Amino acid sequence: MSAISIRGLSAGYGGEAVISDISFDLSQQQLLAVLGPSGSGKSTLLKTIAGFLTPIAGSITLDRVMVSSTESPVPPERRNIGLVPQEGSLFPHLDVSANIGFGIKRDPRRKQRVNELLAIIDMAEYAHARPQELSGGQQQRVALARALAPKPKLILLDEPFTALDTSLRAQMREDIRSILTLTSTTAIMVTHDQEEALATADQLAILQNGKLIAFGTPHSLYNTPKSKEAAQLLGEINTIPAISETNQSVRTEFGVSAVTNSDQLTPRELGTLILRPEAFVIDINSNPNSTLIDSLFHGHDSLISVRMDSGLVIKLREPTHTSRIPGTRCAITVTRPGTFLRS
Amino acid sequence: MQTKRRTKTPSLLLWGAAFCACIAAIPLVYLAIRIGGAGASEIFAILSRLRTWETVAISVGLAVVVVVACLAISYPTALFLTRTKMPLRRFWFTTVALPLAIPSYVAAYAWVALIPGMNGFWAAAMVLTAVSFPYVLLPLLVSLRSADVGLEQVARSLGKKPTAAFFATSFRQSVPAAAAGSLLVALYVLSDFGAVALLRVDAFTRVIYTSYRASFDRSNAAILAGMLVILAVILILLERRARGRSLRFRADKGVASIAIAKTPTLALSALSSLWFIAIAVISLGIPIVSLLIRLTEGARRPLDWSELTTAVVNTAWISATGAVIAVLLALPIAALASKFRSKSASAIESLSYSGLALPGVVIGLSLVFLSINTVPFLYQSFALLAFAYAVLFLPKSLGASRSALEAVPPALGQVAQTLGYNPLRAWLYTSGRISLPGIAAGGLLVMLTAMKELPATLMLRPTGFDTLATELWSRTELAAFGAAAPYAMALILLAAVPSFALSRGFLTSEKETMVNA
Repeated sequence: MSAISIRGLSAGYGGEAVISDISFDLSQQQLLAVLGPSGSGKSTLLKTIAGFLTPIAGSITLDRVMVSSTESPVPPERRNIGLVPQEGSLFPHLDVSANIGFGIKRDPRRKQRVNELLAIIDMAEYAHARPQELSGGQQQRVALARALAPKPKLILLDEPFTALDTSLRAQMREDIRSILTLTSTTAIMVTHDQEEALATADQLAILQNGKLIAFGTPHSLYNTPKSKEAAQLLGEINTIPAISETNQSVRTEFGVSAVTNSDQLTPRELGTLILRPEAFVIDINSNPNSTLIDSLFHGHDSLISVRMDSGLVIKLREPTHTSRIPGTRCAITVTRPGTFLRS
Repeated sequence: MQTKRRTKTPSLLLWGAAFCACIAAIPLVYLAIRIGGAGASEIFAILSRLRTWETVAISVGLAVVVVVACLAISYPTALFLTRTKMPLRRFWFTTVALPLAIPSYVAAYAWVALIPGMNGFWAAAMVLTAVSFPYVLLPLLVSLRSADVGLEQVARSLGKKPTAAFFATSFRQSVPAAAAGSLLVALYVLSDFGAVALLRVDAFTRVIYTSYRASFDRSNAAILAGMLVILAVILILLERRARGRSLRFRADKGVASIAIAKTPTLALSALSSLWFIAIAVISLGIPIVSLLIRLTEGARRPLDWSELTTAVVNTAWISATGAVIAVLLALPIAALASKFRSKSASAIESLSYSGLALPGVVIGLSLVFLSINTVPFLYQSFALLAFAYAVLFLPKSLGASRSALEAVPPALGQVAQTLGYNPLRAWLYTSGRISLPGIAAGGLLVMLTAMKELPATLMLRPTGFDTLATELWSRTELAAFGAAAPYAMALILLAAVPSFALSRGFLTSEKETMVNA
């Protein structure tokens, strides 16, 4: 059963749509990452789900209850949706406990619930600390606990890690992931960081210019993209002219390659093969077919550019190797299946 | 969630704010109605009187003279303070802001008490300059201190001499700040009643007051008040423009290099010290000494303590009431303006700033007419005087409340809403609660300013209701200078509170700059 179901949603400001015709379903206890460049409509989507914006068209159904349609939307305070904004969003005049208990003032078991959440976020000793005394990561954990306190049906996270140092982010991602799992919470997180989206989410939605251009598991969207744009938003790609040969394979200048989307293939179609940089292997001892032109050192690996004798430039990733000197002749082979897109 | 300003304005808030702004605009609107009621021929008759234009000439002339004098004092003072390590620099930094704490009529009283025959245009110009020059000096200090000396260094490296380099760069950057300050001074001079009345200068405010007292020529008072308002509005608009430009000139803090104060030569040290001593003697020393002389003289006669206590209690009570009304009127407008930017929101905000363009004597006049003609039971009532204070000082409360509210991130209110709070409760528990100290400080500022108010109080106070300002006024009118002294002292002490806070804030930022440099 889906926790949240969105159908044909369009929303914006002053009658002007910023997001249009968005539809998806998200199952219980899943974490959806909404990825998109700035201005793609991520925040508008979040605001509409939270209830701060009334849709121009379409509907939002939460736990089988329609909360948002063009007429009589449920106001934010009666949606039972939690919100974790970007940064510094703790109430500065309240201590940690009071922040967490803010949404459950009438609950007789308030104190118990606050302690339970303090334990979950591993901050029991900070119960009476002021927000100003906490680090950025601690503040975000408290903000999450505050949103979780009334046991919401859904949590919305608006770029929750942007304010944090890069070194802290990976840890925070894991923390938030495990807190959400521990509390069996369904969540939607907005981000512009593809690494963050791939590493954290169960489901991934890619927004561009207010449209949903891809939706699926991070794995499938990374390995079997539906379009070039959606592929690029998740990382570096190579696009190679290709022609489909059989129902299973395509031919490129690298020879015959297997494809990840063979179910959609018919023979003799022109198109491109999308290959990630890790789909190539470089070999300087074989019969050369290309020249190395650049090597970008990333520590754990390097991104290497080579120019094929045909003129095509390929970017490939391999564990850092000392002998990758520009000008070296080398042989490039494809070792993994790519995705074939019809032109 | 950063697009807060584009969301639809809740209509309840919009109507509430509009209602408050309309209430605040009552004196202005009624004045306009009154002038309109006078009829074109009467307006023409008054406008063609030579005496009317004499009044304009005196007021404008006084404003010009005072502004020029303030500039002449402020530029050297600011340069000494920002560019040299002159002796007692920190002490003078604090001292130069203090004249703001002396209400103009107290200063005028002190001078008259010392030199009983003193009066006229130049006397008024001197007294008004002495109390208002910090309005030019303080923004100038800020501008010269934050001016990017890097530009001056570039000019030097391109072959300009130090003075030429200064005039080509830092001086030009300081012009908008000086202009904004000058316009504030001009507004202060035009609105001032106490000093010109005590020193018998027939400026607008005094003429309006006397023709109101003479009571046979009330249209004259209304039309003159209308002209004064128009002048004030022009000054306010010019000041806004100058301030906007000064903001644009402000250098980026991260890269600006701040002027390094030089250790002055002995001669320069002596000169600068003499300069500061002269300023302090004229603006602070003489008024305070005169007051102390009169105070000791008065002490030989028994002081009526009960009368003084009554005046203090009355002053505090009426000002506090005015402050509460001002805060209540300001809150919906501030809540609207801090959250939404639409044409209607900014129209409402501008309307509520009408107090800036209404000198006390004009508000007093308008409310006297209004109460006599439409609500006679409010004439010379406590409530009407408190309302006059609220309208006069609404901009102070509005500014404080608005900046306090703007400092609260809008995400907090949204979080509260997702946690089950309806919009009003969410606002009260987040923005309202967090900005409470700032809103209260604004109210306190209104109260402290209202305690010094003279002309509206004279015109609107209930019969027999005496405040510190009116007690000082009536004793001075009777030339009972000794008996007036305790009231003058009490007023200075009261007024010192906000100026002290102001100069302290100023010093703190000075310290920070020093640390950063």
